[in-house]
Amino acid sequence: MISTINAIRTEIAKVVVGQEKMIDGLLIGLLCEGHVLIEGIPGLAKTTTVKALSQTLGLGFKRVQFTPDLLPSDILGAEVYDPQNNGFKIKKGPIFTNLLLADEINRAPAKVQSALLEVMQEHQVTLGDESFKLARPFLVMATQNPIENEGVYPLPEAQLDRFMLKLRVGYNTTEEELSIARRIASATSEKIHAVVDAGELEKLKERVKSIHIDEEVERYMIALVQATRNPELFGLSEIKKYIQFGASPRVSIDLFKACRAVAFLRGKEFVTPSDIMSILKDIMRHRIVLSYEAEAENIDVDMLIEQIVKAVPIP
Amino acid sequence: MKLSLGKFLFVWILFVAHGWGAYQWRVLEAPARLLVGESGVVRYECVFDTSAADYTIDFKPAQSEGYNASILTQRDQIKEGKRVQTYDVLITPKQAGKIDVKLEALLRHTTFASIENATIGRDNVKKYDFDDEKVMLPLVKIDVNENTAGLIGNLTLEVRTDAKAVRAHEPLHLSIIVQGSGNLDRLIPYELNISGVKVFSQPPQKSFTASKDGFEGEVIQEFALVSRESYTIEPFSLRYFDTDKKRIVTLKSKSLYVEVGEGYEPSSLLDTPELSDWSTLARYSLYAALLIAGVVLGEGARRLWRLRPRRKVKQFWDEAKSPKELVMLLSLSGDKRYDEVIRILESGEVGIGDAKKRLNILINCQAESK
Repeated sequence: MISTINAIRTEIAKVVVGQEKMIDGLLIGLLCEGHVLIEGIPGLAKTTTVKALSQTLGLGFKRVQFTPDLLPSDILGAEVYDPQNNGFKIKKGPIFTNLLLADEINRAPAKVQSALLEVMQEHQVTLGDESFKLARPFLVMATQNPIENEGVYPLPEAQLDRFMLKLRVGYNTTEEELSIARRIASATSEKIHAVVDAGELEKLKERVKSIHIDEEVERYMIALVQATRNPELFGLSEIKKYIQFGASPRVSIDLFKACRAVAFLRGKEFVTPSDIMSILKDIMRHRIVLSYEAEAENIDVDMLIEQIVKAVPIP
Repeated sequence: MKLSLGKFLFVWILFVAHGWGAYQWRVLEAPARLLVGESGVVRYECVFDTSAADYTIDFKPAQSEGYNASILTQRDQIKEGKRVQTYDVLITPKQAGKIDVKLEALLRHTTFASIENATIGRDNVKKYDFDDEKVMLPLVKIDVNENTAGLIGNLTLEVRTDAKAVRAHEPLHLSIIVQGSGNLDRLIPYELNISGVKVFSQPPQKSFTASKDGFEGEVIQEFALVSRESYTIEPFSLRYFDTDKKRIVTLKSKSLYVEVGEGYEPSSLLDTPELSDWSTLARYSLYAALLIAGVVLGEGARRLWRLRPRRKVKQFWDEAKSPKELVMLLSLSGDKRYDEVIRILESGEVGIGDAKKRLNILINCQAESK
């Protein structure tokens, strides 16, 4: 099974140098059927990676560039008049696919974001008086650029909660950047082949579900989530003022799913605390609402998560 | 009486209107005879009735077929309350025969209107600043006799060399110097051709100024002669009309024999260090010792630098006191490079100390590869 994952990684590496954490995050999202939000400054191969992943899977892939004038019907589809039959017919939008890349999701207004995020949750679209189920798997990979403030519509916390992972993409290392520059300058990018089909993907998902989690580890996960809500119970009274709302139960659900996928990607049969810690920030960072004090004191969510991990006893 | 008064007034008006009587030109001195090429000074004087501040003289002697004319000196004086302007004009005949020196001058009289315009500061008036009047200077007649020598004056000839004997391919420098006064501008440069000798010549250096005899100063012509064999420089001659002796004189330099010896061997052109000399040996030994000492010191410094105690860079995992803590910190960093260390820590293959060593090696290897 892990050889299939390695084959996917090898195919993606044909066009993407480095960014292994982002690739692993996308694979976790894929294996857990969780949507992924990727945040990073322009030029870090966010879009390229998502496209490459879709090509390796041989699944349906569509890309929507979010712009301020985008309408919900541009994504979902609409009823259009058919003059030949003198009636209306359904024209499906790009949402009807397996993998949807929502590029620069924060450039579209709230009504478009809302329409998309609703579909992400319901896996169903209603056009006119007819409802349509979306194909399985259905995964939204959204990208957003954190450095611009003008002309963007930040996603509300309630909608952010629907993303399983929020991956932060950083710069490549020196060697990786050298390799990228050489590869682009010599124009020697290779063609990506589909190495997994829908059936194989389903098997992989089943395999992930079978990864064992010890009860102690399960309780450790729950403790971590609860520490975001009641930090004082874990001796973290000093950070309570920085947290307005802690992590929701959806975080616990996603953590249970994601840590299995992490263990699977590491070739293990069971989950250890290190698997939880390695994915914890990506799951929690967009779901903890910070207070004004935290913003005023320049406290980052990642810093608080680190404090919580250090405070909660490791099984 | 009335008629005489009228005539008188008419003559007076004409006299005043044309400036007659305001100035008067005359010749103070002039040569009666000259030879072709010989210069003589004609002194003209213009005497004004008053200080004549509003007069200027524009005098540029025109050239003629028979002679060249140029102003040698010019003086402006006040004598007994009158302005006197004197010009010494150098006349140099170009051909034999009788020549009439007829020169013109332009007398410019500042007008009343121009004075008024200048005083008031008008800037939109036409510029008629002067009333101009051409004046013919008194005629000078000169008898010009033929001069077969071409050159004339009082001249000397000198030939100098910087050596009498040279080695093959070594240049000998020769200077021909013609000094004195006369028509030095007419001196024809010497040409030097000696069989078997390579002659390098320079244009003559003329350093003379105008004088009553034409020009006064010197003309120097320099040559560099290079030969492989001995040679003789034939005498140089200078034929001119001597104005003191009143006859043609021919000056002649001495013939010069230049002995050319053997040329230098290429090896003899280099200074060979005299190693037998104790001071030279000592100096070279010192240089060698300094070089060796420098190399030894440099190597020593390099080794010391490598052995210096290096301050350990604090890593985030240093604070971990148990394997669990170390796993936690490494996992939180999200860096995939630590995955292997996390795995062996969790499996209990290594303790915290070994794991930290492995992490340090990992970081150092990557730093060195950069």
